[in-house]
Amino acid sequence: MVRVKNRYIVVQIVPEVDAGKISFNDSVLSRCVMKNVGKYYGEFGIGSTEYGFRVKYCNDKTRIAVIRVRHRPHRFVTSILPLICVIGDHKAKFRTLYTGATIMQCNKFIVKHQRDVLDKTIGTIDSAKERSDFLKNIMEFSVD
Amino acid sequence: MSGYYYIDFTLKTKETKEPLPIYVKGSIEQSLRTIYGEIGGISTVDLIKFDRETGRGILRVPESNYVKTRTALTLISKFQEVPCHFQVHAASPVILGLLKTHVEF
Amino acid sequence: MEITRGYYDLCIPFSDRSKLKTLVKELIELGYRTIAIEQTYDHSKKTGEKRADIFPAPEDLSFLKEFESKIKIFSRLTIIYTDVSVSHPMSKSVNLQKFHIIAGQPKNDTAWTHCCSTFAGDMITFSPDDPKIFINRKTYQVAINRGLFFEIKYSEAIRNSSHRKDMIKVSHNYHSKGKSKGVLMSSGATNVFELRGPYDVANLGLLFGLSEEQGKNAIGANCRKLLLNAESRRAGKTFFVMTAKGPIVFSSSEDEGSDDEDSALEDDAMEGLEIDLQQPSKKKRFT
Repeated sequence: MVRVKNRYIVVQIVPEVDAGKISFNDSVLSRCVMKNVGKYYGEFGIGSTEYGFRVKYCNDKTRIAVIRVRHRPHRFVTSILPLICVIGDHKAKFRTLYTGATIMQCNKFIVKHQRDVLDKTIGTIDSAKERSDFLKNIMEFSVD
Repeated sequence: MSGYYYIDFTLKTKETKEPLPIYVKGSIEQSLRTIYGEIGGISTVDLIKFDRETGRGILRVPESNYVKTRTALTLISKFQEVPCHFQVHAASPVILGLLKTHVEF
Repeated sequence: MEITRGYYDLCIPFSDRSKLKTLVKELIELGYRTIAIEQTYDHSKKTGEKRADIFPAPEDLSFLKEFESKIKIFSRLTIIYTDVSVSHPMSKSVNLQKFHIIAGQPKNDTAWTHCCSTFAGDMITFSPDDPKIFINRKTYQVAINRGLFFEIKYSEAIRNSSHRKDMIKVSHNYHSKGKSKGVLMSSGATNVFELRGPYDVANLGLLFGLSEEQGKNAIGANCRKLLLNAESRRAGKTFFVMTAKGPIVFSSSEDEGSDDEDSALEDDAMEGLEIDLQQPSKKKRFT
């Protein structure tokens, strides 16, 4: 069985100022990444990356996104992610957490990662309601 | 070898005005930048010799960038807003190899 | 079948005579030895008028006779279509038989699938105006097995930058879906400045996701195969290549009369054959 190989890149978006209001969505992210691929790798980069490029998952609250790229051109994307410092209208950077070949592996990774985050932060929250809300927000995961 | 590739080319344009070597080099670098971008298109292109009357010249590029430079050279369609084309006569890792060209066999 | 030599450029759009002459001169200078003059027919635009044969007749190329000794010139028709109903008039057309090469340019997904699986042509081309066509791996394989070829026109990439992106996108798609099997490159140039030398084109193949060898085949061996396939489709015959091992001995006395190059394999598909078609050559080659 032959198939098209993809790479799924799990990134975390780290805004410069920690304002909770800033939101990111799929189209903003993909436009930003494609623009930078074009800047650093030119038309060849865009042409080879564009097909199969998609932001599969973008969680506004946890600021985690999964980007799908075809196997060979994924190097274009992974190599320019550290160079990006403006996403949409805000100053922010990408932190690459994981690169996997299937979305299941990425899912596993994200769940594990979120659990770690949870362990670290849950102690600082006082009220029980806030705690349960926080838990709900952070552990939600669905891929469109 | 020397780690370089030498490309023997002719710039053919509609215009009769003789092209300046600096613009020739500029247009090659410009094309490299649009096609391969800031990271991919970075390379040292040296125009060793350029004859303004015939438009023929010799280009030196590092071996690893030879393929990219040649595609960029192929895809240039305009030189200072005038339709043009770069005809490559020969390419060789040794400069003496340019003496015999495969097109003019 | 005439013997053709490399390099090939199978897409030179038909334009006025003087322009075409300068183009052919330049092609010869660059080292091309076989070319095809392209005419297009857009089936997706309904003209309304009813004609017996909707396809145009091939243009008279006799004014290019002076180049005959240096370069072989074939005629080619590109059919742009969205609707699979094009195959019905194609099967009846007389004019179509007069073209050496027939290319299909599907404009949507269903047409693309049809083009790969049942289209009675030789190659599939695309224009960067509609790059969103979904390429299915299975149909791609079907097309390759039927002996169809996929064409990349490089002059579009030279002309404008957004087209260049789309060209790279589609050809990389060919690469990821079918390992760029059966890809050939041609110019589609309308003026002299869009023509490039064969070695440049082979090198340009690397930009379009072909390997070094595929790049060279894209202007050489693949085009030769296409012309052989086209000839066999036209004639309703098939060609075969014989490889000789050791000396060839003709034992029977009847065989002596026939020339070395004459040995026909007849298929059953002779019905559609035109009378004015000269008896197609029998392709038997000793390599």
